Amino acid sequence: MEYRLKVEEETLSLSLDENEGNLSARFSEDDDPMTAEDVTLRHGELSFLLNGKRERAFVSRGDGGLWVWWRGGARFVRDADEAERRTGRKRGGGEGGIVTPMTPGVVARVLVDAGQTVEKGQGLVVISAMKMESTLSAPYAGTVTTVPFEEGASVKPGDVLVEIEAAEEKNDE
Amino acid sequence: MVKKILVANRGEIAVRILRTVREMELESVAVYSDADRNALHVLSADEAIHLGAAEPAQSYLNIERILEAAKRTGADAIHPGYGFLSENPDFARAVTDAGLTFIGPSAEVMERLGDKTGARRLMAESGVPITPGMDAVSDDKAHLEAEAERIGFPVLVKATAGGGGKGMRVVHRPEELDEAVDLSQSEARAAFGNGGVYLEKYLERPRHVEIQILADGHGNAVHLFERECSIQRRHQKIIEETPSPALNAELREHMGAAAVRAVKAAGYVNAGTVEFLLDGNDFYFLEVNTRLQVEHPITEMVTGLDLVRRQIDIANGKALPFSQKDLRQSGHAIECRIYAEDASNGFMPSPGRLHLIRHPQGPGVRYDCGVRGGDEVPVNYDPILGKLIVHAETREAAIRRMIEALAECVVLGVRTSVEYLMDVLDSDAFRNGDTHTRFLEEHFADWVAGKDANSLAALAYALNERYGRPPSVSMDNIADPESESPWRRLGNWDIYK
Repeated sequence: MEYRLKVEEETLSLSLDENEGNLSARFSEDDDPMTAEDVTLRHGELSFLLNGKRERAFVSRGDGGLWVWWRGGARFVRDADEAERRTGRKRGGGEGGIVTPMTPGVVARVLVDAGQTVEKGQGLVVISAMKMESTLSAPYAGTVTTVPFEEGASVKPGDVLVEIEAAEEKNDE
Repeated sequence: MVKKILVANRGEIAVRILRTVREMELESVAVYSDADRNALHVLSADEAIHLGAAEPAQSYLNIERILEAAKRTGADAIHPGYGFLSENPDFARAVTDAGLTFIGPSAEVMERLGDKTGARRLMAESGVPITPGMDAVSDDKAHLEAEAERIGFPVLVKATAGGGGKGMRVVHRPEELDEAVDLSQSEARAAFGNGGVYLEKYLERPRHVEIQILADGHGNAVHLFERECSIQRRHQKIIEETPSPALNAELREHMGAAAVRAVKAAGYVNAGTVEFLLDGNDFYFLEVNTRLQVEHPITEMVTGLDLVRRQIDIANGKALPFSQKDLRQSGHAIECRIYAEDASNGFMPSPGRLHLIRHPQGPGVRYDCGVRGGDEVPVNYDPILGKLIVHAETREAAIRRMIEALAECVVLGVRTSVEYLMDVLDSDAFRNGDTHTRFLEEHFADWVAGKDANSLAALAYALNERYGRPPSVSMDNIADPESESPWRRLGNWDIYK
C-alpha cells in the first residue's frame, strides 16, 4: 500500500507492504525497510514493535486527517492529495493578503472606517484570543471598502474582517 | 467556621481547589459561563450556578452575579482562585460586606499591595530594595514619555492591577511606547477591569525568584521557601522549580526574611507570594501576588503542605500549626504549564475541540488538569489546560521524571507546548541551572519541532488505516482483506470521535 502523506508541512511518501502477515515499511526505495510487528490499536492507543523495539503512539481523528501523539510530539497527518484539494478550494481566487485572523477570536477594536485610505502595514483590527491581543494590519495600501464585523463579534480564520481596494500604484517597498 | 465554599473560577485551579474542599468535607459550589456548561470544574462541585455569557465581564468577572450565586446556594465563603477577581479589592470587600468569608487577604491589604505602584512605595519605606521606576499610574502620554526617558530604555509597561504578564510589554525605543501603552491598557482592562499602567526599568537578565508566605490572623507569618520562575515567554512563566539552583542557604534565609518583613508591614493575612528579581546576590522587590499562585503545587510537593487547606484554616481564624523552624524543603519539584498554544507557530493560541487527553502517572507525578477529552477550549479565557508537576530526590532526577511524564501527557485536538517544554528541559543550559528571564529568547528563539516524530506519525497513520477497526475484533483477522474497505474504515472512525 502506497501513501503520500502531509505531516504538518512535510510531505512524506510511505509504502507499507504485507508479506504473509509480516509488515514492512519504507519511506524511499533506498531505505532499508522497517518491520512493524505486534500491532495493536485500542481506544486510540496504537502500539507496535518497530524493528523489534516497542513504540507507543496515540491517535485521534481530526477534521480531514489524523492526530498522532508520539513521545510528547503531536502531529496532524493528512492524505497529501486530499490536503491539496482542500487548500485549493479554500484559497478560491488565489488572491493573497486577505485580512483574516490566524485563530478563532473576538474583535476587540476596529481601528479603521469604510472609505478610509490605509498604508501597507497599518493596523486595522485588534483581535483578542485567550486574553492575548494581536493587531491585523493592511497587506497592501488602498481604500477600506467594508468592515463587516463589529467589536465583540466572534471571528474565525477565513472570515475577511476588512476589505481593502488596492491603491493604483502598488508599493512594493 | 465556613461550611460551604463557592469557587469563583474555572479550569484547573477551580478543580484543584474543589478537591481540597471535598477532602475537608465541606460543601462546594461551582460557577460557570455559557462556554463552560459541561466543564470539569462544574462536575467537581456539589452544585453549580450559571453566571452568564462567555465574556469574562458577563461571568467570572461579574461580582454581582457571583454574589447572587452564593446567596442562592447558601455558600458562606468564596475562594477566588487566581486571575479573574482574585486580586480585586472591590470583590473582596463586596464578599465580606455580604457577610461571607473571603478566602484571601482583606480588601485593604490588597489595595495596599495589589496596586503595584503603592506596593513599591511601601517596600521602599520598609527597606526592601525596589527596581527604578514610577510610583504612580498615568494615562498622560507626554508624562509617560518623560518618565521613560528619566528611567532609561528599555522600560517595562506594567498594569498596576496586573499579574501573569497580562498587560505588560517591554519597550526598547521611544517610538514604540505609544502603541505599547494602548495595548497594555486595553489588555489590562479586559483581564482585570482596570486599565492603569506605569513604567519600570527593564532588567536585562535577572532571575525571577519568589517566596511563598503564609500569615495568620494572630500575627504569625512564615515563608515556605522559594520558587524559581525564570523560564518565561512573553513574561508568562512556563516552567517553575524549587529549590532554585541560584540560592544557597544564606541567600534563601535573607530573601525569606525580607518576604516575611514585607507581608508583616502590609498587615497581610492568608497565603501570598513576594516576587523578587535576583541579579547575582542582589534581589529587588517586584510585587506581591495577593492570591494563590498558578505554580503553588511545587511548594506543596517540597513542603508536604496543602496550601488551599492552609488558606481555608487561616480564613477560619485558626493560628498556623507550625513555626518557621518546623518547615523543611524536601527533594526537588518542577512544574510545566500545559497551554493550548502552537509552539511551532509563534505560540498562537490554539482553541478548539480536545479529542484525547491522557494523564501521566508514576511516582512523584501530579497532573492538575482542568479539561477532558471532548471539551471545547474556549477563545475567551487564558489558554491553560493544566499543570504537570513532578517531585523527585534531586534536580537531575526531577528533570528526567518531568521529561518522561511530558512524553505521556497526551493532548490531541489542539496544539500545545509539550514538545517545546521537553526540549527546554533536556537542554544543557537548563540542566546547568543557568536560568534567567531571557533564557528562552537566548536559547530557544529559533526552536523547531523534531522531524523524527513526522516519520513516526506517517507510519502511525498507515497502521491506523490498516488496523483501524473496532477494538473487539480479534487480531487473528488482521490479514482479512475486507479491512481495506473504505466502508469498514468509515465505520471505525466513529469509535475514535
